[in-house]
Amino acid sequence: MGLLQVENLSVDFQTDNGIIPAVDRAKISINAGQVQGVIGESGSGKSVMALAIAGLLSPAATMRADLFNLDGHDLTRMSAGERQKLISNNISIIFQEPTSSLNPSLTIGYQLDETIRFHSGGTRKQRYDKAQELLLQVGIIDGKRRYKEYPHQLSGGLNQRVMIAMALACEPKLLIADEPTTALDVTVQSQILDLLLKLNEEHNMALMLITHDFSILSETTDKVYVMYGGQIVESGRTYKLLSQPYHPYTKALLNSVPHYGMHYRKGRRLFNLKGSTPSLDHLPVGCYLGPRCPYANRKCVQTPELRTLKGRKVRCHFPLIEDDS
Amino acid sequence: MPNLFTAKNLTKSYRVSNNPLKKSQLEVLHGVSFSLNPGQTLAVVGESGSGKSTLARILVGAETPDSGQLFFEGKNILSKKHKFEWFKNIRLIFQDASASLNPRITIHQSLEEPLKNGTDYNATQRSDRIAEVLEMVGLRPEYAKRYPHTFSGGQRQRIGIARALLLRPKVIVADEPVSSLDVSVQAQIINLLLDLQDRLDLAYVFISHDLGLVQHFSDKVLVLNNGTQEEYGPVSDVFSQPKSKYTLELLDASAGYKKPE
Amino acid sequence: MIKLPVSANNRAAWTIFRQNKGAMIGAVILIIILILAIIGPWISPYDPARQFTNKILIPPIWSPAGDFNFFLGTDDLGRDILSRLLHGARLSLQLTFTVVLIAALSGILIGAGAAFLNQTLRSLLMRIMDLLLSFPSLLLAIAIVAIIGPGLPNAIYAVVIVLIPQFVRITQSSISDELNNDYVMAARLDGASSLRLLSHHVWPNITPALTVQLTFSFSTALLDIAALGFLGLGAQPPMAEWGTMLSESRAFIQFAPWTMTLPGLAIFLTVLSINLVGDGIRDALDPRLNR
Repeated sequence: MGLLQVENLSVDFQTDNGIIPAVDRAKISINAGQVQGVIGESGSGKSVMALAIAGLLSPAATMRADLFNLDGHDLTRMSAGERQKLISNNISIIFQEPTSSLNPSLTIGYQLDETIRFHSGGTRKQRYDKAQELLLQVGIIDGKRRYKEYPHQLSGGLNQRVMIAMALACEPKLLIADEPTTALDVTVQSQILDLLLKLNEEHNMALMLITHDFSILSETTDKVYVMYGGQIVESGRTYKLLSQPYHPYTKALLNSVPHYGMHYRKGRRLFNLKGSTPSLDHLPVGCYLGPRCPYANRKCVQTPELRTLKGRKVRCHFPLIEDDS
Repeated sequence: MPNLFTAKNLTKSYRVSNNPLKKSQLEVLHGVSFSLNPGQTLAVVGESGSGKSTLARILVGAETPDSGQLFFEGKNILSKKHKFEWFKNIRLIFQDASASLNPRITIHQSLEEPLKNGTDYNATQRSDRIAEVLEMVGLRPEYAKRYPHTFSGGQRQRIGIARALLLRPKVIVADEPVSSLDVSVQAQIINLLLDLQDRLDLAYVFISHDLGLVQHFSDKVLVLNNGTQEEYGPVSDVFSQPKSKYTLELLDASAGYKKPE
Repeated sequence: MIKLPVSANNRAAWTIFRQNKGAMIGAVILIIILILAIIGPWISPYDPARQFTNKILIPPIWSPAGDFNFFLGTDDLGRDILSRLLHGARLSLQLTFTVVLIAALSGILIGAGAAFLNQTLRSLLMRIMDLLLSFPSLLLAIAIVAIIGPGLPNAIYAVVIVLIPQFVRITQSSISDELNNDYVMAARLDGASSLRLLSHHVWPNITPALTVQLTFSFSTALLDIAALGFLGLGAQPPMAEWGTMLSESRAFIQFAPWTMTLPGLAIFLTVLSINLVGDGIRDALDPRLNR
């Protein structure tokens, strides 16, 4: 029994220019303690999907799902209030910009204390001890000093640790990290990832890492979802997906970034897709990658369905599979 | 034969406090030196706060260093003696292309600016040159009539590159030109920059935090850490045998994430 | 949030303005008042200073005691109120225009200069402006008139001085904001001189803020000029100025209320319509308010 099972999750945004489909029939399942990755570029719907799962969508959005099971409860049959409570007890989310997610005019301690009070209550002393314990858990050693400081006095990396501490205060079974290291320097990046994996192991807390960078997924995750234009275009076990992508988009994402240590000759052209990511209100007909795809032909004006190929899910008429025969 | 572009011991510090009675200075660059020839790319690598953007602004003449010298084709361009027209020789590509385009005027009007200030072209000649450069960066000349917000991020960065090329400069300073773009578009821009370098024999100063890109793109690399030049040399040497501990750390962190055991 | 592409500019602003009911009503009233002020001297029945000594304090025609020759009645000296209001409209609006024009021009020049001054001088200048801004505008105008003496010209100087700091402040701060933009830096690196930078790249982007300030200055100026007239510090009787008319008829409010109500109503309608239009312009031009 998985921790979270979502089927055909769709999110639409109501705007002045009509309805915009931000997420289109996504299917996600996470087991307790599992680490999964979602990869996509800006506008791929990855962040909206995260917000939808965490129950944080703005009122302008409408969400539908055929199945939404969390920790054995069916959320589709619950009242909004009950659903919100169940989600906030089980799922926490952290964002890309830790410094802007914290209130600049309140101390770290106050904000942490508020989260703890809201979640578990307790006397002032108990809450303070709990806060110190959480700060220690996220690797902040001088917690007593930091407790009294303001977000601007802390570095980006430390603020992200504080955000993680606040997320932990709710003792979540699933932590969604939306580009947790994008705004941080490379050397700090690995420390935050270390911390997230340590917490995953110690608390058996499932982790959903959302990113646009394959290099941080290869070592951390068991399973990866690739998103494009609001759809999941490919999903499968990380190792296999990275070593042999089936979907042209996955391949392009992997090959368009020069990876350090791969010893390029200077001046070699990078593989790239022509054009740019389509905006969600002007999606092409049929396969959303069609106009940019080097392998596309006439068939690609028909919408491809997500189908299973060798234990992997691919949304493409012409997956990049070598014939075994 | 002197180098095309040489920097010697550039330093820069800012006054931090607004209080005129309290003089506290923040040193952002202490002693940066390099040299660059046509067709070469120098990568400047560092994390946020390393002073790499300040260096970029100094190199294009937007700021003056406190001390040190800059030579362009053998002439000291920081000395007041001969007036050096920075904008005809050394150009900047901005990190955020959309912020560098005035939202209220058309692309044509934006691109006319350097031509009006730097040439005596008439209106037709200016339009011709704009069309020529737009084609060079892979955009259609008709696009000049449109406003910046009608373009995608990648297209805007191409316009930024066109603007840099208009006056046929010899050096282009690119301040993280692809970091705000989607990965699939990044590759297009990098390829374009490489093509242009081949065609026009441009020298690039490429400011980046992405060592993968740097390795792919550059001949020389300069590593900055808190304003100090940690390392400077050919890419192959620095990346295979880093001399400083900081460079080693940076290389380690960039080699992709490794799970601790 | 998404910044409105400002280049989609004036037409978009007009669309937003047109959808704003209050602003449209204000605009219609203001246009009527402007037309009346312009053609006033030709359509007014009598000379505003002419006294009908046998027709003193006649009420407007909707009252049973009204007289068809005097549409809005007469005042205590037998002068036709309609004629005085029409001439007053012309005078008040003319004064307001002049005052705002002088204040705006000098304020913008000082503000633009301040943006390019060095840190210390700019701080000094802006603190002086802050000092002037900290007084309520009317109080400051009264104080100035008290020093230089009452009379219409002095009242005009006073209101000009009161209005200048607002223009200085808004010009200086929006130019400073603009100069921090990447595209202004880009233009500078394109070789543009300071003057060209200001006229071609900065100025078009600060005009919306200045337009809004301009409309609100109109209502302040109109009100302050009328108030000075009312207090006897500005326009002097027998001038047909709305504030002065109010003050002259103060004594008759009990038994001839129309002599005071009508000029008051004229001031009220004009200020209200200017403010409504000003609000509309601000909403239409401010990219933060219209997403």
